[in-house]
Amino acid sequence: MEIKESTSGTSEVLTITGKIDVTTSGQLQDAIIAGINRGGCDFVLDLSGADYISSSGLRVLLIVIKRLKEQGGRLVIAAASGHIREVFDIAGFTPLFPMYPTIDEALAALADTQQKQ
Amino acid sequence: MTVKILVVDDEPDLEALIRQKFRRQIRDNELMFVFAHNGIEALQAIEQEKDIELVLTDINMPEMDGLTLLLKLSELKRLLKAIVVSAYGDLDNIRTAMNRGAFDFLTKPIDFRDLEITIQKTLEQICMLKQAVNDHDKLLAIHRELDIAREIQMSIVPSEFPPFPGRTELDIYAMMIAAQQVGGDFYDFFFIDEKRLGFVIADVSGKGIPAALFMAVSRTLLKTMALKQQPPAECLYTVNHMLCGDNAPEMFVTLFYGILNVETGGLEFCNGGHNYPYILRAGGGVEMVLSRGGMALGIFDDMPYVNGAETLRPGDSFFLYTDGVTEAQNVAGEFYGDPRLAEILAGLSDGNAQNIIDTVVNDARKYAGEAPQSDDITALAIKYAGSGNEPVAKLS
Repeated sequence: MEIKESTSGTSEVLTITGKIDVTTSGQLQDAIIAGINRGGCDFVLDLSGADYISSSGLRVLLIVIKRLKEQGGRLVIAAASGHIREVFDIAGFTPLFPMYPTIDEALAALADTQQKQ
Repeated sequence: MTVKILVVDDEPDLEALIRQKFRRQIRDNELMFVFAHNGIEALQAIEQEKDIELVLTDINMPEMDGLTLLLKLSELKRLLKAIVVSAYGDLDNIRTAMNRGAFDFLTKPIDFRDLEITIQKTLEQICMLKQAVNDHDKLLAIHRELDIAREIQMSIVPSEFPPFPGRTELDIYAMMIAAQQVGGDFYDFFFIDEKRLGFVIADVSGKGIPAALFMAVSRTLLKTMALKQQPPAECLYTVNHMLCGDNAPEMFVTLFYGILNVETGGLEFCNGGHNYPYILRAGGGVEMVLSRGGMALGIFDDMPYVNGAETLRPGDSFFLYTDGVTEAQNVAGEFYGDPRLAEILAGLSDGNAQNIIDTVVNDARKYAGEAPQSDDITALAIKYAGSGNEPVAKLS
């Protein structure tokens, strides 16, 4: 698994390539927590290059959104494959993680709700 | 701690010289010296004094020389290090000594400053070795404990088949293969009363010991609630509530709990975020049971859980599994997947419960080939033979 980080407006975009499983999920957790510690608030997880997420990956995302929630931050998912959406869906996680077909749409959704706030 | 050093030399004056040069260390109980005058005496001393850690030996000696002594030392299973003392320029003997396991060498006449440094260096090496042996022993102890943990885990899931030899209405088989010594999957089945069989399959997030602990708790909570005759959704609601109560590390479990009425074939269930099971119809045909009852357990308290219902007719089978089956990966990193699972199940409607499980698990393992098993693989099949008392099927 590889993580590329970039910033777009007030949001941080993390682009994941590869598998998010028991061996790599810790790395993802560290990357997002580091982003939060830098003062990051809104995160887009770009899963266009991710081909798998295991229950360990879901667990890390739960830890992260709990942490974000305390600080009024958000995490949305962009460009997840059908297989990954299904994993979220079956576990009942879809309501917790808003999903968007593209990064632009994810960023627009975050920006839109920011204005309204 | 005092370090005991054996000095082996046929030179009679050496003992007095060493006692003189190292008198401070001897007085302060840092070093203790034992003396021998040839290889034979040295071996006797080592045999008698088990705490000798370092041997400083000359090469040319009567009875048994230093090179032979080195060979004998290497045969002892002791944490001993040897330093050889040779004549200046005697490279052949030095090479032989090093090849026979000597840790270092000194040349004559002995430079006592150098000897002290060499002893210090050797002792540091012995200290590291002792630490390594200690760590190794600890690791072995952990492995033994893991083996016991595995036995405990395997003993809390039912493993005797057929589990209810007197019950002709059903045939049950299950298998659980952990990817590591212990795993986070489990299955269970038990009669709630004369007519109703409760059955469970579940998968805890992550693997290894944390998952195994959470698995044991989840399994016990669920069974306790189930035996109180609660409907599936109520059971999941309560178990979720209890798991959320003190679940600091954000563990969760996906869990399917069903109750089969063995008299009617009626099936009531609740699926808490688990993979959709399949029904293998008696005449052929495979149906995925898409009913979703609620979220995986242990995440958010007070979540709604709803019951689903199906009917098994005589000859139908219910197949449950964890994602270790569908997410088995081959060496190319591709997944076994639902389509392949559905396809293989389609050919198994005539099989008994064990046929179904064996065929699926073998196929998943065959698919994975040489690739290491990445997740726990668990599967449970219940074939409903019928009681003869089923309500007459409605024509549709």
